[in-house]
Amino acid sequence: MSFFYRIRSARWSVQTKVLAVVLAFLVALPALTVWIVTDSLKNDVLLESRQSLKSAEAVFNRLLDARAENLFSRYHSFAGEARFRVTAAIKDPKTMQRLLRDVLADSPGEHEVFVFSTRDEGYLAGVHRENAKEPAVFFKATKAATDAALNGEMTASSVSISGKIYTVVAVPVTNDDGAILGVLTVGVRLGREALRQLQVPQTEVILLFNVQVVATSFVPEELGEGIVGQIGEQGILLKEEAHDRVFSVKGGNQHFMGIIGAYGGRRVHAEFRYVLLWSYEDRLQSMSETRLKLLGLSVVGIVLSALGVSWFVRRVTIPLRELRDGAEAVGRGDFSRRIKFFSNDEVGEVAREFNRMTTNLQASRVELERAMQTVKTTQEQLIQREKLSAVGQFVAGVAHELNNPLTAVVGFSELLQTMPMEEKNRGYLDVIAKSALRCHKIVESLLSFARQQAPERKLVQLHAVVEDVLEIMAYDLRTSGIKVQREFAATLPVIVADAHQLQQVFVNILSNARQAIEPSQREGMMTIRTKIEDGLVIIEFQDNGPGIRPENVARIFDPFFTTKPVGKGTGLGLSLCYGIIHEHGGKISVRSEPGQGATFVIELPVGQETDPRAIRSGSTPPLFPNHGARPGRSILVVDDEPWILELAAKLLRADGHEVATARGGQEALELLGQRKFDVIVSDWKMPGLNGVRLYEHLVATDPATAKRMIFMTGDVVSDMFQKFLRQHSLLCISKPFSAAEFRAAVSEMFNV
Amino acid sequence: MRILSMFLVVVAVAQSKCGAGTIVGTVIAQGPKVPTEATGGGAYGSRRYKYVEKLDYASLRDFVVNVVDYVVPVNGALDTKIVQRDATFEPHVLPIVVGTRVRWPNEDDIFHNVFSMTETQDFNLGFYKKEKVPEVRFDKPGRVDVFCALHTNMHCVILVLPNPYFALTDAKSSYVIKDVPPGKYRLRAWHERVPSQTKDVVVPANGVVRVDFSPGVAELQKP
Repeated sequence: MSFFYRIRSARWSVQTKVLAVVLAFLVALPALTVWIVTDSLKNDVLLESRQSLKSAEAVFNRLLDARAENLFSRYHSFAGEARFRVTAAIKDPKTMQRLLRDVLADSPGEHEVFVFSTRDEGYLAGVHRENAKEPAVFFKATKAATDAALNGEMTASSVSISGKIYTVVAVPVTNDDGAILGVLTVGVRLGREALRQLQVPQTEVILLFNVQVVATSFVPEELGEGIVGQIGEQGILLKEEAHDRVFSVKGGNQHFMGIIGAYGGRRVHAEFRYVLLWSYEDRLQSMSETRLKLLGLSVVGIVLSALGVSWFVRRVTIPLRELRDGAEAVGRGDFSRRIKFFSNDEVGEVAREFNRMTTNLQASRVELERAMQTVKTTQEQLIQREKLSAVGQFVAGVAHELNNPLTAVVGFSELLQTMPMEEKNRGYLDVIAKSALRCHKIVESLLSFARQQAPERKLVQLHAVVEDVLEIMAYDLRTSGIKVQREFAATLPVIVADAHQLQQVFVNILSNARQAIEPSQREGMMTIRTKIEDGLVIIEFQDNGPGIRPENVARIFDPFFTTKPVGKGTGLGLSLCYGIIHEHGGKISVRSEPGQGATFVIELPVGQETDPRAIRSGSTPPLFPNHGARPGRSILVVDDEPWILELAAKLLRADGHEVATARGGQEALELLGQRKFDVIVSDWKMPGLNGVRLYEHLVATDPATAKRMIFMTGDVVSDMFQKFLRQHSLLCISKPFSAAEFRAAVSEMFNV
Repeated sequence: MRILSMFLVVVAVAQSKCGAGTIVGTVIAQGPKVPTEATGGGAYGSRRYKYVEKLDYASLRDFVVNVVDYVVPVNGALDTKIVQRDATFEPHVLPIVVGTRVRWPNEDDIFHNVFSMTETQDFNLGFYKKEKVPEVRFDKPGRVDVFCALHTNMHCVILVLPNPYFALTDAKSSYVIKDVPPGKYRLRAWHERVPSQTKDVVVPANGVVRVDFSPGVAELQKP
């Protein structure tokens, strides 16, 4: 079982299988052929031997007859000789004896017994070649033949005496008148010599007396004895029915087919048998030669066929193997593998399908990889944005905390400036004001970096924005010895963008470039390129500064990352640029090699006239105040910071307005419950009742006043709040605000 | 005994004449020069000997040497015998002078039938055993071949010669002819199976003359 299991589970190539089957057939077929041919040859040999033996037997019998006839005529003529007639007539036994002895001497050696007898005297004289007593025995044994001859019949028969077989010829001897004087009976031994003469070609003869070998035609006579021994062992020697059967026997180194018979025709002497043997050694030899030839041919055929089949199978399985290799390659992940060999059959179809599958797999994989790349990029951007947003929140908090005190510093310094004071003090105040303004700018930039609201979008001509920035930067660039080269596209589609923010980005990049080029003491060159590619407007800023070190390229957009000396940069500039460009749906990237300058590439999507982002918010407050239109209004200022309230009150009172202040929403409501105000200025975030709740209250109690409410915020304006503002068409001023801004905002309300 | 007495008679006759010589010699048959064995294989020594009987010439006996062409009548009856013994005639060759009687006793206990059918003299003695001894007188010179009707192997030759000067070679193939009157003779050596050889001889009045014969195939008549 396990063996078969092993065979079944073993890996057999198609080639091996086909070859095994074909070889099995190839071996089985000749084997069958050889078997059939051998069998039929054997049958042929048997048949042939039977026929040969039968004919040999017939010939043998005929020859025996002929021999007897020859002998008969020989002795018939001898009996006709005068001397014999005369001697016979004398009937003198001695004379007859002498005559017979002479005849004996003249006869061949096998003519052994001569007996002369007469009707009256019976046995008259007899001679035997060896044994003097034999003739009398012989006479007795041949009495029948002698009597027949006395009656004028001429007979030839056989007789066996003491282990010898004689052909008996009995001829009558007559006188001149034809009267029968006596009978000459001659016994011619059927011995080896006779057998030699009687032998039919290709056959051997064994004469048997009972089971005793009397004579054989074999050259070593023992061979005949051995064969008879074998026949005896087969038990067919004495069986009458065996006399027609062909048997097989081995003698010496020869194979014989044999047949047993008895000679004598009518006078069959049961003890006298012969065995005819027909050697089929040459048949066997030719048979084995034939078999050998067949086998040789078969082997050659098998080898040739095996080679042919193996070649053919190899050829047929080439595409299969190629398929297998291809599948393996695909399994390894090599999708570029294609099957080249196409046979014009099912295998070819499989190969074609395989190729198609591989192509599809490859395409899928490429797509997958691209998708993966996109995901990775997106993830990176997400991480960057997360970083920015985290920093943004932090910055927003800080800015909010800074804005309130700054509002105080800016507001009061401005207030102070309107007051008369010593020149020396005025100088100090100017420093304070300027410093405050600078702080304000810093906080503003922080806030704008952190701002999460959608920037104000308009259709913008990029070239115009760039030209504006260059104009602003013209002085700086010139003093730094930097030449600007413009490689603008002839026409550029408009984009949807916040022009101010873009300006901020460009200024940032140009400033960085200037700062980078300046210490390198070489002729600065700034190349600005614009072009449109794949539906994107691309602007490149290329400088010939020292470039960015590779390790810094990856971090350059990280917030607070800077290579500038302390105090010279915040590390926020490029982060801000990154944030702005991304909010515009664009990309900013840098490529640089040390010593080769750096190139900032900004891609921005082309804008459409109908771009939803282009819808302008209609609530943008005019920045320019409308002084003194209708002074003397009542204004409620609500804030949790007392100095803000003081500043606002001072500013508005200076303008001739009546100002009430509240330290929170609750207090404001109490005031509002007592009287009405023309304008309400309220902080957005307050402990307790905040600005929004206050507004909602107002809308409920006094909708007209609610419309003239102004919000202040030192915080980043959240989307929700922005939405709220837009929904209710409300004004909002960012802290810190200048006195002018505050006044302007308030006076705007008066126009409502 | 009879032969001896015959010789005595001859000698007596011869001695009655004035002077006589004796001829002695040997007769040894001579075969072909080429050994017979070498004729095997087809390489015959000569076409001449192609049909020559292959014999052991040296062992041939029973030569008869006699003087030819010389007639000497013998007066008085001479007689001799040829015995049938063991189905053979003894002697096998018997030279006699014209007028000799030959008796044919049968010493076997089987029948013989002696007969001759030669031109010189034909006779048939019929069957007999010992009951009789027939006699035949030979009056004409010549060769007489005698056979037995029953036994084909029985054969003897009687040479009937015109003069008494003859001799049969003995066991040593030598012969002696005595009492030959001096003169010049032709001497012949005869054998039943070998061509005869003839030689001239001059017999002295007294003394011995030697004549050796070597008859053989050389004596064959050239074709």
